[in-house]
Amino acid sequence: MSKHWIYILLIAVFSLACEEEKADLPSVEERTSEAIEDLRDELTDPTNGWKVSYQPTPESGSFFMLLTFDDDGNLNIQSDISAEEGIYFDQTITYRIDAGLSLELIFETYGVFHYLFELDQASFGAEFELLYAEEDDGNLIFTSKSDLFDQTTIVFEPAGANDADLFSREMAQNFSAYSGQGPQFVIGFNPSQQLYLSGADISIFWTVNLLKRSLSIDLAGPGSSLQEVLSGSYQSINQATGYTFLDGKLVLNNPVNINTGGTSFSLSEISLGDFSETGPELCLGSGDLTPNYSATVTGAGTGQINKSLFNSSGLTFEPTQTLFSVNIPFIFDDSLRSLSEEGIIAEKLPSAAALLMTYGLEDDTIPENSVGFFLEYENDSTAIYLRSFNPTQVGNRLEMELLDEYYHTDTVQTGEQQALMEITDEIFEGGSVYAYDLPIRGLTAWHFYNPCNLYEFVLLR
Amino acid sequence: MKSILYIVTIGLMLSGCYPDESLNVAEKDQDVELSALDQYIEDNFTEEYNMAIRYRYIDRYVNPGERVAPPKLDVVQPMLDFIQEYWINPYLEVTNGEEFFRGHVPPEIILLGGFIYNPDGTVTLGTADSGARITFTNVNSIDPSDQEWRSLQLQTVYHEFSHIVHQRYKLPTAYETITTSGYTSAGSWFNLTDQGAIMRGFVSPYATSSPNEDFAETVAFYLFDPDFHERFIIQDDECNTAACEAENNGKAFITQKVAAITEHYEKVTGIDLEELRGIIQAKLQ
Repeated sequence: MSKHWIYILLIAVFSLACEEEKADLPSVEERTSEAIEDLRDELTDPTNGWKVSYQPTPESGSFFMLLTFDDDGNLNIQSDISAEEGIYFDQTITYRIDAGLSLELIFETYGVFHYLFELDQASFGAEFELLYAEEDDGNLIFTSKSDLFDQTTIVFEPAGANDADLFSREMAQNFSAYSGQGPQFVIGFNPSQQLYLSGADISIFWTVNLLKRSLSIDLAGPGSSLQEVLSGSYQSINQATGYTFLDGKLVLNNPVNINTGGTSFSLSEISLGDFSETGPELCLGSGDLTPNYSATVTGAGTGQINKSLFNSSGLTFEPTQTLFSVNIPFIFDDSLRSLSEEGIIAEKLPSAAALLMTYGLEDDTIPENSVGFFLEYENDSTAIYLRSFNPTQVGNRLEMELLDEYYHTDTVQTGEQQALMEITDEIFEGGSVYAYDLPIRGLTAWHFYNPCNLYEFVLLR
Repeated sequence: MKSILYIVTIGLMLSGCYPDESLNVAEKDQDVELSALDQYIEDNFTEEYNMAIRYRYIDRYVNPGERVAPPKLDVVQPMLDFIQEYWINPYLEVTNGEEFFRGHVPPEIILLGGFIYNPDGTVTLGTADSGARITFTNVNSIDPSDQEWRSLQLQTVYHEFSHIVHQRYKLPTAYETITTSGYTSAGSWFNLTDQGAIMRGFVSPYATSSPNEDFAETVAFYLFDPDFHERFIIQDDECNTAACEAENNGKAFITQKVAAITEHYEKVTGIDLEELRGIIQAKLQ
C-alpha cells in the first residue's frame, strides 16, 4: 500500500476524532469561567454564610470566624480578634477567584486574615490565598497556597442561624488585658497566668501567647500561692497547646492531663465567667490590681485566673560561686531606655562599666550577696563597688532586702557610696525582681523584671 | 504530494482538537462590577493619566518569597488623595510639568498595606521597578501629618519617578565622575552610615550603590527634605575635626550634583527643580 494512503488515513482519523468532542467540550476559557462561577455560586449559596475554625499553624490556636460572600466580590468576615479597636469583629473586604493551576480564593484587601498573616513580621504562618480542593458533604475544603510544605487545611462549613452567638469577643478582649504589666525587653515575651481551682486547691501555671492563642502549661500543684505550690510535690507539665474562644469558653486544642495533690482530671476547656481588674498586686503595696477571671473546669470545680509573673525558666537562676555581670547599657527603665545613657547611672555614676551581683558567693572578702558596679575611671584605673543584700528566693522571684553595708576594691572616689545607694534603691525599688531565662547561644543569661518600677536588666553567669 | 500530506498530518496532530484553545486565557476573575472606588480610580487615574492603581492583592507584584499584604479598603482613597496632592499636583503646577508628567507617568501604581518581608528576614521599606511601576508600602499606616511616614512615601515616589529621566534622557554629562571613588561595591551600601555617605558626597548610603541610584536619591531628597540645604549643602565654617572637614568636602560634591541634575532637568524636561521643590515644600508646611 502506498504511503500516501497511510497519511490520508491518519488525516481522516485525526479529523474524525476531533469532530464529536468539538461539539461537546467547551473551550478552556469557557471551562475556566464556568469553574469560577461554580465556586462563586457555592460560596454565595449558604443563607448564613460559612463558619471557619481557622488554625494557621499546628502550634497555634484556632480563630472562629463567619464568612459571607456576595456575587459582587465582597466578603464579610466576622471574628473575635479584638486588635485595632475591634475593626476585625465585623469587616467587609473584597475577594476574587482566580484560575491558576487550580481555583484560588484570594482575599484581595486587608482584613483579619492579613492581620494574622503579618504577625511576627509575616512569619506566623497565616495566609490569605487559598487553593480550592474539593466539596465534601456540603463543606468546602481549601488549602493554603503560600505553604510549600505542610499545607494548612481550611474547612468552610455552612453556618447556622445562631452561630454568631458562639463568638466570645468580650472574652478575647478581656484576655488581652493580661498582656499588661510585664517584661518588654524580650520581644514577644508571653505573659503568665495562674489558674487556681479553689475546690481542688490546685494551681496551674502557664504562659499564654495572646496573639497566636496558645498556652504553654508550665506546672501544676497543690496550693494557692507560688510558695505553697513549689514547696510541695508539684507536677511539671511542659506541654503546649493552641486554644480558641468559643461560646464563653476557652477551649484547648489538645487536652492536658492534670494529676497532682491526689486530684486527676483532663483540662480540655475552661468556662469563663466574670471579669474584673481585682486580681492581686504584682508589686506588693502598690495598689495596682490586675486582671481576674472567674473560671470553671469540668471535673475540677470553680476557680480564678490571675496574672502571674512566674515562669519556671527563671528557676535556673540560683546561688552560685560565680559572679553575675553584664555590661552597663543593659539596665533599662520602664521605657526601655538604658540607665547608663539617660538615667540615674549616667547622672550619678558615669564611671560604671558593668553591673555586678554576687548571690551565694563564698569568698573571704567579697560579700556573699551583693549588687553593685565595676567602675572604670578616666585614668584607666578600675574598682569594684558592691552593696550587700539579704536574699529570699521563691520560684523565679528574688526578694532583696538591701543593706547599708558596702564593699569596694582599690581606691574609690568621694560620693560613690551615696551614688551606689541611690542607684540600687532605684533599680530594686519594692524589693523584688523576677528572673527569666534569656536564651543566648553560648551564654547563660537571665533577664530580670521589677514589677514595682517596671525596670529591667540582664545578668550573665 | 507526499510532503503536503505529511505537513497536513503533522499540522493536525499539533493543532489538537480545540480551535478556541489558546494561551490568551483570562488569568484573573474579572466578572465583577466596578465599585465606587474602582470607578473613581478609572475616572481620575486610569482615564486621566493612563495609570493603573493596583490595591487588590495580586501575587505577581512581588518577587517569589517576599511576603506582603494588600491595603485596607478604607485607606485606599486617602492614599490616592495623598498621591494626587503631593506627587501629581506639584508636577501639574510647576512650569512645563504637566506635559512631562503625562508623557512619562508610570503605567502601574501598587499599594501595599505593610512592608515587604523578605525570605532572609530583612524588611524592605520601599521598592523600585525601573520606572515602569511605583510601589507604595505601609499604606495601612497612612498619616500625612507623620513626618516619618510621609517622608518614606515621598522619597519612594520622587525617587522612582526620577529614574524615568535618566532612563529616557541619560544621566547629566559626566555625572558619574563627580564622586567616582565613592560608589560602594555591590550589596555593601548598607554598611555605610548616613554621615559616612555625606562624607563621600552622597545624600544617603543607598545612593552610593550606583550612579543611577545616586541620581534618583539626590532628586528625591532635594524635593522632599525640608532640611536639604542644612543637611547636604551648607558648609560648616567652624570645622575643627577631620570628620567635619570630610563632611564639608562631601557637601561640596553634593552641591555639584544638585547643580548638574538641575541643569539636566531644565534641559531635557523643561522643569525647574527648584521651583518644583518650592511647590512641594509649600504643600508640606
